[in-house]
Amino acid sequence: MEERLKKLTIAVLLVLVIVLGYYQIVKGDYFFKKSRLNYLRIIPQKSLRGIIYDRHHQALVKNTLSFQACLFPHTPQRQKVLSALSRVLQVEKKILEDNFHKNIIAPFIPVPVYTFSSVDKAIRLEEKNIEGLIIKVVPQREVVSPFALAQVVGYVQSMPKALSYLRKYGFKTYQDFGISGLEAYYDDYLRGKEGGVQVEVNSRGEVRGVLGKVKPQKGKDLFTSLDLRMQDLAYRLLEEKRQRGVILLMDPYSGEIMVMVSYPSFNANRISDAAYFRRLLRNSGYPFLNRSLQGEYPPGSVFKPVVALAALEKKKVSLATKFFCDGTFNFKGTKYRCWSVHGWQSLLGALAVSCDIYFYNLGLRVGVEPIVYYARMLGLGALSGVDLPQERRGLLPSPAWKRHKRHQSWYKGDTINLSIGQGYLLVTPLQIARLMSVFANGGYLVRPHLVRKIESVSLGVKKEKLHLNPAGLRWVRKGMRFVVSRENGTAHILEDLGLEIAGKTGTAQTSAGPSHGWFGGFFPYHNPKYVIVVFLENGKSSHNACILAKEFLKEAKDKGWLSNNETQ
Amino acid sequence: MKLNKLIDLKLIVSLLGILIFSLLSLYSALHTQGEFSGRNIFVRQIIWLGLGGVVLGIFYLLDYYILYELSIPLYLLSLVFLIAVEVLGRIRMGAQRWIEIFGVTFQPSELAKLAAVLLLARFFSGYLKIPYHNRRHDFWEGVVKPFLPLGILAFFIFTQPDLGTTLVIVFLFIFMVFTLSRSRKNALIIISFIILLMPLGWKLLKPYQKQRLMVFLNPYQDPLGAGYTMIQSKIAVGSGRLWGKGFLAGTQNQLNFIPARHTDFIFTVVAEEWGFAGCLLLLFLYYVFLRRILAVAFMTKDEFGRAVSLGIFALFLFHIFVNIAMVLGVLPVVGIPLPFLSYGGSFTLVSFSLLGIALNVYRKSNYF
Repeated sequence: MEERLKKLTIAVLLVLVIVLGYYQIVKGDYFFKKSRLNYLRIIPQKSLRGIIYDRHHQALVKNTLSFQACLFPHTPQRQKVLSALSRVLQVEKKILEDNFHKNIIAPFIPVPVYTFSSVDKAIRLEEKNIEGLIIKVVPQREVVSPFALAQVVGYVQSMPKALSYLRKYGFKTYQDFGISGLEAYYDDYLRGKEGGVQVEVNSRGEVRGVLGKVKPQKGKDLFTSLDLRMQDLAYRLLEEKRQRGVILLMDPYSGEIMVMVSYPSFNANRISDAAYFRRLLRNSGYPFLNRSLQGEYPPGSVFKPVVALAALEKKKVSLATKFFCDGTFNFKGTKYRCWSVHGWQSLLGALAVSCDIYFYNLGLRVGVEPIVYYARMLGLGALSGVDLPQERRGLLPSPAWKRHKRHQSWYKGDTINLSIGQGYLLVTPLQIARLMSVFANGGYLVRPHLVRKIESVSLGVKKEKLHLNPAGLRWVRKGMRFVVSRENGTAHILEDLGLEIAGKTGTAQTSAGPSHGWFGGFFPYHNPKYVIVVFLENGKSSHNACILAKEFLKEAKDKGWLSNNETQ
Repeated sequence: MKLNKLIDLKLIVSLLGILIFSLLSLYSALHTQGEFSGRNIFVRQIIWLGLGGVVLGIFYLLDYYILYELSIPLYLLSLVFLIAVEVLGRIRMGAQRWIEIFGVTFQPSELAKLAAVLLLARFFSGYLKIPYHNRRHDFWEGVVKPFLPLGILAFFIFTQPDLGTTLVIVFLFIFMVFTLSRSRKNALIIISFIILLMPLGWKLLKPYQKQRLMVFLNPYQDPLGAGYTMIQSKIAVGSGRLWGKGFLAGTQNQLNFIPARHTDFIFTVVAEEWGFAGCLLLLFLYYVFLRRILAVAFMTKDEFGRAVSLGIFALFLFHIFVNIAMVLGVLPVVGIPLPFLSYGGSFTLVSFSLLGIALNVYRKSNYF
């Protein structure tokens, strides 16, 4: 009996030893790690995003201080604090409550319930001395001209659902992510490196000691080629007319964009306001659309220089070749009209008055393939490579395209439409600016861009020499000058600015509403420094575009912004 | 006379080793983050140990046959205490397991353990006096007579509610029947009877006790509630690895992740801070301790002394195994302390008195 009980004792204790051995030796490392996870916590410290500057080192987006009302997750008087907050901040308590539940990260990190910028309110809250309320000062992204810059600069948000896969790579949900514009395109540079404090916590999650600290690193600054003054001016002009459209100003040699405005726009600083955001999404003017690179429109007559260039390159016409315009053009029983009656026209004159019938004839004589070839060479139907997200490539039709996509043959009538920039052709205003810069700089296709430098590293200029006959280019250029300089030129009203503008107008018919108005050009003619594109969506006529271009350039010139626009 | 004949030195040495573990672990468990926040409790436990020493001395020196006579009054006394607790609890509208005498709280269920050991020893040693050929089938003497009083005792403890002590009593009873009646038929009858009682017992359990038992099956069904202790104690034990994190360096313990770690979960402190090596040493000390009590039981020729010693052996074995198995998550959480390691006045005193009786039997074994 004694022996049996002794064995029992040994057996019982052996069971314990085996289980202990399993936990402590076999799975010891696993449990050790678990115990570390139990008591180690990292409290994140947000990094500042880089600042975005314009060409005169004026900040476009900066970090300002705002106030954040926070509570600890387990504050017993939460309801009382939220009620007091909703009274002072004049926000519904439900919103605060929702924010509270959304923002809980861990039991030891104060939960932000509302962010506001009013110093008065912050002082009033501090004076009230509400128990359990913490007012934190946090950096906040602020766009200097929130409407004029909204689509270009974009905005930031804490991790949206679409990016939640990034959590696998160590990103945190509360981090700011660039969602659109430069903020999105250069997000990797702008976003700094988050720091943090490693703390030891007890079972209630209360901090018992600091173990280590990593300082957050600020993101890199961007130096853009934008000119804030002219950007504001352009936006103001479009806003005054309540005209959907685009104004672009670009350096034809480098492709640096100085003005890029798209109207309607939105307030980039109010994007965190959910109700406002929803209203924007419902807005019929599509304010989030950056029309300069995401809007695809028929170019109309602005396309004519391309046809003229193709004709000269292929030597299908000389400058002396004339066609007669009597207002209508009959082709295989279909009547094609000109917008006026021009009589006998040569190439340069036809460019100046934008005679459609001349170009119908020209297009038929050149044929569709050369037109498409040169249009493609000048960057139509392709991405320009601008440093902004979600650019559209437009549509450059061709017989092959039509056969492939529409299962139809290419007809001569399609060529006629194409030769005045109608039909299937779709372009973005930025593509027109790029096209114009080829005529301005004597045969280089540039890559439009906004950012010149990241921190202190200059980004190079990318441009491509096109295989073009200089003579042809020179003549089309001259024709574009006539558009402005000649009495009967369609953009003659721009002549009295004294800027030596050359360009081309366009009134593009569209199935959706009134015609679009275009003006694309460059100046000064002899030594071009600027390419300008004004596009008015459903703006009725190119004349309206010219008026707007004139107002814009006049004011810019009067203020001396055009003569002295070098980087300081 | 040699000291060796008066006192079992191995037993004393193993006891001292266990007590050193106890003091180190209690100090560590009550010493959180640089401040000795549990100083009160620690000092109190030292006082209990001192009193335990005195009690041990008394039980060592008296003639243990007095206990044969005292077993029935002691049983009745603990029954009275248990009923008093029950009544007081009803009056105060809440569960209660202790009563206050002269400002000192006392748990009658711990006293009941002592009473149960003595009463069972009395029954079974009396039973042994009947000639062997009659014993085998004597159901009334061997089963019913000891079962009735202990069943009543267990019932009152169970309704306190104190599941741990109830199980101690049940185990004691089964153990005594098995080892001392040597009747397989009786043992089977008892086992099946207890199994029949179990569904009734389940119905009488409080919701939180049921939850504890359910959670044992899957601690992650409620990781922050009932399963919390089990998960955290496993982490504490496992993270000690081979050599432990060192004295006062157990993070699970120091940062308060383990509730009740100075009482029922004291073993987590040992495991976390002294590792597998420390646990092996402690278990070895317990083995020596149990082995010596067992030796005492078979050293003496006195039937009552043997029955008492076996009861003491069974009680300690059950406590040690169930407590550590519970800490390791092998058994569900029931409130059973670890002898000579956990904090707790009543149980410390009862443990010392039981040990005193065992030493007494050892001393007397030389006379028989």
